[in-house]
Amino acid sequence: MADDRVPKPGTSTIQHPGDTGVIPERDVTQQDLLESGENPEGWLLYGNNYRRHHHTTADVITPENVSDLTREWTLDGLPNANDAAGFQGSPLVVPGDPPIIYQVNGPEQNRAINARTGEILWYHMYHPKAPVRWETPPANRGVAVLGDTLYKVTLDHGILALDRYDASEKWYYNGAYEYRNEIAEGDEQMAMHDELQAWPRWRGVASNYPLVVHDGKLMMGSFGGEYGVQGWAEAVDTDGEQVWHRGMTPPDEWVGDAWKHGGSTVWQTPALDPESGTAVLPTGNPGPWFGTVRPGWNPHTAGKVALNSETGEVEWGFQESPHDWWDYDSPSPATIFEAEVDGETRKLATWPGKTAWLYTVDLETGELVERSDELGEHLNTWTMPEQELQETPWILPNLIGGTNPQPSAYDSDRNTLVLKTTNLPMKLTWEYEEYEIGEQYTGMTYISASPGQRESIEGWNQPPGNITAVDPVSGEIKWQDWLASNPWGGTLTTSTGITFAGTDGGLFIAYDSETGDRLWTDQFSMGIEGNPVSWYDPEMGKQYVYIQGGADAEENMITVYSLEE
Amino acid sequence: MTTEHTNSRLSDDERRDFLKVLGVTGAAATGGAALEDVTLSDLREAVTVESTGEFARRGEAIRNGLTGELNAELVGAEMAGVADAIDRLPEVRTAGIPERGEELYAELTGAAWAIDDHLAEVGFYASTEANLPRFGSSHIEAMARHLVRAEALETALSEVGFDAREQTEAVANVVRQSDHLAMWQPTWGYEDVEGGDEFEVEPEYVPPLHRRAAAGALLWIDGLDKHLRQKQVLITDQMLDDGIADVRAMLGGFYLLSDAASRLATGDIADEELTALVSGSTAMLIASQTDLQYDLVRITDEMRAPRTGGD
Repeated sequence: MADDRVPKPGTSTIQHPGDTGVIPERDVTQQDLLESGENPEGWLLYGNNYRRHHHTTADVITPENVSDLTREWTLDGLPNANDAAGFQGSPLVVPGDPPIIYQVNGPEQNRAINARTGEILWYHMYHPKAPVRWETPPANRGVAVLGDTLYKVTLDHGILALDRYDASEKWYYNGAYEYRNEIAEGDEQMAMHDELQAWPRWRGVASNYPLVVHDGKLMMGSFGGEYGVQGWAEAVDTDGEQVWHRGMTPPDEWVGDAWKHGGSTVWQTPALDPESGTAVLPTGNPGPWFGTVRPGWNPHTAGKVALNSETGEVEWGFQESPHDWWDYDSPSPATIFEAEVDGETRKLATWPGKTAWLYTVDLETGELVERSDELGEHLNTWTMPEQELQETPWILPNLIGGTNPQPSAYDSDRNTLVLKTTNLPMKLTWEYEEYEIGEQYTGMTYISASPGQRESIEGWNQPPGNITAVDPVSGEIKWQDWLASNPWGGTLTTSTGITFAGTDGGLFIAYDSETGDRLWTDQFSMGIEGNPVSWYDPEMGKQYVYIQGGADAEENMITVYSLEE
Repeated sequence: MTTEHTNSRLSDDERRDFLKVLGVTGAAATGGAALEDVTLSDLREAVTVESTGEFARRGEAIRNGLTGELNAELVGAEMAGVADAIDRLPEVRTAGIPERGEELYAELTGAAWAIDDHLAEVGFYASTEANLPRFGSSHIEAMARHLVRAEALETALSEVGFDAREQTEAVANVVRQSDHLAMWQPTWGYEDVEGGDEFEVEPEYVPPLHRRAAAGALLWIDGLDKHLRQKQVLITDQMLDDGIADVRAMLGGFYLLSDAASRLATGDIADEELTALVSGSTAMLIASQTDLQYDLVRITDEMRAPRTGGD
């Protein structure tokens, strides 16, 4: 049924296929969110804590018994499968009797699921006003929860607040009303800036990124980097009112009006240090890809930007590929952690780049502490594209990797970050492209090496992808598992020393976090693009592991494993 | 020639290519000077310029295309500031990595930004873009010959301490980067690429080419303090040396551009020379900001400082 009770540009479908009465009433507090990473019974934030560790303290599953892991329940072939492609991201799990899973997949779809049985309790889909390219619809990667409200971003740059017991809508925030200091004509709740609704959303260039809710505010970002936009981030309070708005292309650091189309979108979720309030945001590439029309560093593109989450003021910006030509932007979320450096305990932020190095910086200054060993191969890196594609040499890393939007997992006990890398050669060439609203603004043609071409590429010696464990302080690689195809999706570490990760070939793997030995595997018929999460259910005496997968094909799956203590 | 770029240091092969472009072959034509010691003066008599009047016509059009009045006094005064910035480069290099709060590099550009603002205000950039050709190989070749023959480049760069070797390298480097320069099109060139015939149309979001070259170089310099502090663990002395040389080339290119504008303001420049100097200085500004990226910004594993593991 359609639900238009709150004013919003699009429409919604809300269904109750199950008994929503089983959802336990529980006020999820700010304190619950702060403690989520240490609480084995839930998963209340994207990444399970604000610092994005993607780590669980649930300890029933160990290296010794992980081989006994079995499928507890599975959902597959979910309705609207063609429209629902992009089973990336990860759900939230609110502890209770039973625990409730708040699942996401693209575009704009959410489900409340009984975590013990797999019964779908409610379903919510928002049909945005902005066009969606249904052949390759975008991924919805996560939601936020606080109190009895679930928050989701929408593809028309809005936020919807849902009652988490029945998915009824509380309010809609219209993030497309104001853009580049221009106000859309019409009602504040409904009118959208022309340039923000002109292009079709699809997996390559749009995302519903997981909101961050902290201290009464929701932080959200923007997308559309390949369409000549100016990226931004903003904070909205829990009543749906804007707190601050920060453009990500500071005009005085660009020549002329190039900032207006400079990209630097923020379409993956920030890491946040609750103590200092510093949020580390991933930023997209500069626009257009054709660089000579935007000389200079093009801050803050293709790196990370640290903002004061209270005020939106920029604390520092770190670029991996200043004045980028190769789409080496930095969508992978950062991880914040503390570690000893030179005899001193410091707060650090670390992330793997598309440039196939891991960067670890001081959280307060953004100064680089170490750049790691290469995560994938480098070949003709930073070589300028030629005017003809065939004249351009093969280049590594690929524009879809090293690491793209996949979140890495951090195990603080072992000071180990586990990430995924793409290792595929590419070629680029450039072309001038005139900006037109709603049309792609890349100025580049790109190919990735086909299987037939790969055999003849000198200097490319390793397979197309890997799963890698790195010491983020020393920069040393601890282990790598090379794969026949480049892996997508995130990773999960456990306090017992296990890393879970999926592959493009549909293999779900449990590694020994210290050695990289494969301890257990399970095979699916589709690629695994989701981020694994885990929780402990004290009533059942079981630890659960959740994974979802499926992409452009009709196939999709949600699978929950369990192991009884 | 490919657009593959490693760093700003010219190889012997690249010097030979430069001489070929000028039509100079054999040691006799260079007065017997060794390849790496050849100066513009050595080459002057060996280089011929076929005058078609094109450079003069373009220079005249630049002059006529100004929409405001160039202020010779302002440009001249600020040029002294640019010269002073070039003088200060050795002490900036000696200081090494800027401390937090220090702006060793950003403080070099104040005078240049003042000139840039003025040139934009009087329509200098718009006029040069409208009246100069794109950087095709024939224009670059003609420009290089004019620069060698005219002495104006030597004179201006000598004022800011560029020795004969540096002057030669500045011109040779422009020739070396001819393929890359071709990517820096004037906005009307982009319109042409799109198949349009409205050459005067300038997309509002793309600044004029010569302003992109000038202001782009200044932006690169301004950002170096932060870059060096942030990436200190990757930076070597060699990279700092090369980076300073690139900044010097940028400021030298800017001084050359300013000199042309200043002399245009006082009526003390021939039209032909104006074309050569604006094209040459713009090319120098583009080439040096590209060099900077490969010398100091795009840091490979081969060039970076040894990894210390956070120690």
